[in-house]
Amino acid sequence: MQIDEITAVSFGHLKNQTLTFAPGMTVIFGPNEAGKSTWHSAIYAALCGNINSLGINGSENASEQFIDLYHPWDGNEWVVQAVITLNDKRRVVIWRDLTGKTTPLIEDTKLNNDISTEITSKGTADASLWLGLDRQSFLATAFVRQADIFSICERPESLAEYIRCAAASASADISATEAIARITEYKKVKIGKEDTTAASPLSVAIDNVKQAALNLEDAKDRQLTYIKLDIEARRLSQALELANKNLKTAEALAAKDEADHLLEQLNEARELHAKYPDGPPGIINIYDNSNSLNQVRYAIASWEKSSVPASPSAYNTTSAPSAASKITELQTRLDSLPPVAQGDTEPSRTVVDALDTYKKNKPEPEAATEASVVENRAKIEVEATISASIATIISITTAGIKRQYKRIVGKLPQQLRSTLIGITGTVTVAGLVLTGMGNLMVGLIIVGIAGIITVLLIPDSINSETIQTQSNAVDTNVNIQNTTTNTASTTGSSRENYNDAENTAYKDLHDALLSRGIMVGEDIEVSAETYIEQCQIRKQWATLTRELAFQLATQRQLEETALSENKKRTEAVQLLFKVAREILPNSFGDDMLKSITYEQQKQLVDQLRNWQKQQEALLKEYEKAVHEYTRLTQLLEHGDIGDLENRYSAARQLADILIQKIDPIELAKFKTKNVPTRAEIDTLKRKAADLELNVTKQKMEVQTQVTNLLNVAEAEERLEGAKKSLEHLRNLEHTLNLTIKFLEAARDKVHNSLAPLLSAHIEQWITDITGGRWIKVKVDPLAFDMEISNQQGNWRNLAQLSQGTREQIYLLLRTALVEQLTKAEEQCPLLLDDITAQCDAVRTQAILDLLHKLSKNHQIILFSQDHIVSAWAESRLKGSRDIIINLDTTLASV
Amino acid sequence: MNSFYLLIFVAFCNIILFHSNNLEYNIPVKFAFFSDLHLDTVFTWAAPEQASQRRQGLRNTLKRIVEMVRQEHVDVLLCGGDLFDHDYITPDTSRFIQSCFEELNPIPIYISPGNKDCYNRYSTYQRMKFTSNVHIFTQNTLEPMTIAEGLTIWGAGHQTSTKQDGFLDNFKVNRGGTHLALFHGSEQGQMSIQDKGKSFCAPFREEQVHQAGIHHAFVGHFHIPKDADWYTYAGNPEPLNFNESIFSEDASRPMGEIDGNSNKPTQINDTQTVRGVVIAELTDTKQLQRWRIPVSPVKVYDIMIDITGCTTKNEAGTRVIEALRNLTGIVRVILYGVVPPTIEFNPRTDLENLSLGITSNVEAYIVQVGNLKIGYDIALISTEPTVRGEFVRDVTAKSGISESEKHRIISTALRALENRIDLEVY
Repeated sequence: MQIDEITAVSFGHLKNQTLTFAPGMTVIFGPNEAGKSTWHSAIYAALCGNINSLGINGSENASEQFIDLYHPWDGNEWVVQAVITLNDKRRVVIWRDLTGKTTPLIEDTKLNNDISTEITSKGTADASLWLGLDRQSFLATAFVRQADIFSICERPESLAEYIRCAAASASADISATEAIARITEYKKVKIGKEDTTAASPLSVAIDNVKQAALNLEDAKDRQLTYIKLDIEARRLSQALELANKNLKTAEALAAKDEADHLLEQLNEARELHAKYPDGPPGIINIYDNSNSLNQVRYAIASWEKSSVPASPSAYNTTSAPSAASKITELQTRLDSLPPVAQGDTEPSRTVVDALDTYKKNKPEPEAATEASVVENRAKIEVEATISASIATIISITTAGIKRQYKRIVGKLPQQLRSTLIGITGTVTVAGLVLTGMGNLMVGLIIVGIAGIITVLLIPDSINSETIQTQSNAVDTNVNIQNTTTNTASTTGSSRENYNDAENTAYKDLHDALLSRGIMVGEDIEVSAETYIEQCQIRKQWATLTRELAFQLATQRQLEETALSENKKRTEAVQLLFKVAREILPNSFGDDMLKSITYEQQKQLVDQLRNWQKQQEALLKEYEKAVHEYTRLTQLLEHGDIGDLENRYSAARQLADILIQKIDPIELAKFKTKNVPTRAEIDTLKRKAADLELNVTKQKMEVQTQVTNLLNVAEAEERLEGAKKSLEHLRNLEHTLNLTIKFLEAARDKVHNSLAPLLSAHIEQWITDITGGRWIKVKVDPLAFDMEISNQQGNWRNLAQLSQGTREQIYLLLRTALVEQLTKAEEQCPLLLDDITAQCDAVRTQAILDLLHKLSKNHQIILFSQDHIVSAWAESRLKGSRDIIINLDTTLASV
Repeated sequence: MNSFYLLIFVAFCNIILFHSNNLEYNIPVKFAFFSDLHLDTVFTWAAPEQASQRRQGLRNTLKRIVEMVRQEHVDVLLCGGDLFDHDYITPDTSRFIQSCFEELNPIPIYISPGNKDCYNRYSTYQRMKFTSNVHIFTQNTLEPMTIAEGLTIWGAGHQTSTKQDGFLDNFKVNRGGTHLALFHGSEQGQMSIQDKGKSFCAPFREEQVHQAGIHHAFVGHFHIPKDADWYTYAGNPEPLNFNESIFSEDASRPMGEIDGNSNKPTQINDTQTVRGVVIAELTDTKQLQRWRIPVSPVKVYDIMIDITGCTTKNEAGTRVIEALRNLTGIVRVILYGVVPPTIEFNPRTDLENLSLGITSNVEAYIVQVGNLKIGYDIALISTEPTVRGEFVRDVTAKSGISESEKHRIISTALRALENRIDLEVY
């Protein structure tokens, strides 16, 4: 792009004035207040548009300042015009009303068409767009100010700063590194770190979320606790309700029962009162009556207890028959028995064992005749048979006999019985003798019959023993005979035939017999057996004696008992009689007592019983009357019938009231059970009271919990709010992190590519502008620090260079940046405003020479009030590409 | 009598012919049906004070329902569930509900608990002491209640807050007469147009209603009202969120979502059915007439405001104030447009406490940033050979980052390169 001319139609103090620029270098010379700055700004305004919409430096103050400075002093018109030539040879007129009242005119002068759309940005035409810049970056790139040069001289590092800023954005506000640092700082302030002890926004937000979550959980826990307490309170209330209902029902039923009970009492009282209107029943001689009754009862009982006489047709009230004869008989028999022989009644075990041993060891004796042995054996067998038969018969008959005893024998007179016993006993013995003598059949028959009769006659207690005694007597008799028989059957034994064992056995037996005081005969075996038999005989004899004695004692006892019974019976009848005479009108006389029959006794007893029943009935009736009257007294203990009626009435009323309050279904349930007792009602009351207490306590707990409740919805909303804030910070952090990351990457990339370009560009000129002193340039891509080296390879940084060299290097950099920042197809003009003001002549010369050289590639427009510049321009700007404009002259021409 | 809801009758009066000839009830019966009031629910979009006001607003709505029932001489009040949010209900609200229903005694009230007020062992219903006119369907199967001779209502309740099988599955009425149903469920044909994020509980299909022998079903759960032939969704009577307005104020900006590309809202609702209480009357001519009465004066708006060209926050605030000037209720302001890079403006904080003026009846508003961009000429900057240009190129070309995030990243860096201190970009 080449700026051909600028026309200030009405700009500042300028009116309809035009400056025409050369394609190469244009020096515009003028003293102070000649309008250099005004033209400088007019060029900018014409190319880039109204400063209002530009917002120079992004602030409203800057635009106000511009307006103040450059709005025309007179009139409202504020117009500038520029004519430019683009690289594609288009010549464009830009006419601009800086008041904004009319739209700018951007016209291709050749085609006469509006091409403003090519460069319209944010509603305003901006010619810097053709350069690939915008208003801000054009200002920063194309316009070189005096201050820029000055800062380089004063602060060499500002060169690198400028490059960094320019590299960051063409507007050169701030370098990329500074921008990154700004973002980092912003992140630090707005977000901070998560795990720092200091309260950073992020950590605070995280804590807020945690706290809000805890609060929410707490709120929910409290609510749940409240719900559970409330549920329990409801349950207890329901239980209390039920308990009260049960209590009311129970009380109602109890009241009803009480009323019913009182009604019963009232009815009873009325009935009794009607029965005993005059007071208690008449008193009778209860004592006498009951005493007589007792006597009758006793007399009857005594009579009944006494034994029935054997013959009901006659009653012998005399004393019991004498039993002296029987007793005498037994005594006689006993006395007649010889004393029991001294000696063993049981064979010594030693003798028996020795005998057995002896028998085993002794030689076979010469046998007795077989016949005699057989006979003896037969006799022994018979004896055994007899004994067994007797025993068997006795045992079999004993039971039957016992049953019949009372019926048959018991009715016999005692004396007769005793006589019969004696007879039958004797017959029995005779039978036994016969048996022993060999008349088995006869003997057995006699024994059997006599034995049975004897058993019948003798009391149970002595029957078996007596028979056994008799049996033993038979045994004794048989044994005595056997002894003889045995003796006969064992002849012929002698000791010559014994061996040692046999001798030992013999000796043992001998000693055993001697120890028992038995003299040993020729046949030791016989002696031993004899000893044994004698023992048996002694035993039997002792037994017989003992039995007789027992019979005697028993008989005596029987006699006594009979006498006693008889006495009792007599007394009973006497008593009966006595009582009957006292009570019954037709009682019997004393003489009747002696001959009163059993039937008469029975009749008497019946009469007495009838009397007894009557009396008992009377007594009972009286007792009943007394009892009833007592009952009446109890019923009326609180007053009279009227009082009882009042009590009943009140109870009924209460019961009705209570029943009415009860649900009939509940009532029906209770009615199937028993009426509750007072204890049960008290239990229900206690239960209800306990429940009521629990309900109250529980409700208080519920209330307390209600006051502790936190609003769960609010807690959740706070949590959501905290989460949103945290999410916002997280998102911001994420954005900032990504921004930093991308910015760093872009910075590094651009710096890395720009640094060599800058180096190369400056290197093109460095030798020339330094007269060969410096030949190499190195630009650090990170910070754009610059070093140059000489031919010797000595590197120096800018601070070590002269001011003049720094200024020239700065200008070279500006042009290099212009080339980098603008579109390749368009050259960007450089507008310099009094940049040599702080320079000496030499430096001024050097700058001007450089600028002139640069003007081969870039349009250079230099504003200056420096005469040195003017002189240099006069002498050097001779070609058609250059021009000198003297503002004094130009103003003068206006 | 509050003239507000006496005078407002929406012209959606449906006359439904019963699909059965077996109608045996003898007298006209008038029902009032509402659901999904969600007492004590959370309002996460609102500031704490606003949320508290909204919850009070829900209570006021219940009171208005009670009053409306009396004034309309309703015979039976039906509640289709989600009367309150069990997780948040306070003891005071519990008592409040009891007292409201007690005021209507002896008018029968039937409640079918929903998934949010389910009848479990901790249910607040179990601990409330209702008067005898209130009946709660506690079983999760339909059970009958005789309303009048020949007229039965079948109701069921959720027992858990999670999955519940369909109440009409394998169900058929077992008696003659007229049958109505009351439950909390999801009609499967409605899922695509109802609120997103709604759980799919107790599903049913419309045809199941008449297959079961039910003449009409009153259903809760979905918040968008629906008057179908065989069922009715009352919808929530009081708006809970910003897509639940009763009606649109601006015909050119109907309710709906915002199209991110065009900055224009798209309409998603297929009806402008009014929210409120449904009055259903079984007439003596054996018909069911149905109409709605709004019971909430609260309006909820989504307003989109273009702040393109505003150079200062004051200008932006002025535009918002202008937009809210004649509105009533709760407004969600969505900002969109392009603002110049030079503006110093944080929409989240700079528009919080605007003085809306005495003509505005806006109870509360919140500001959200929609498709709002900072007007950097990204295309131009991306041509720069500078770090800035390279940065913009790199970010723009990066995949896996959303466009809005890219915008924030670029704007943040450009602001930093401009030496600004307000680097956060909305």
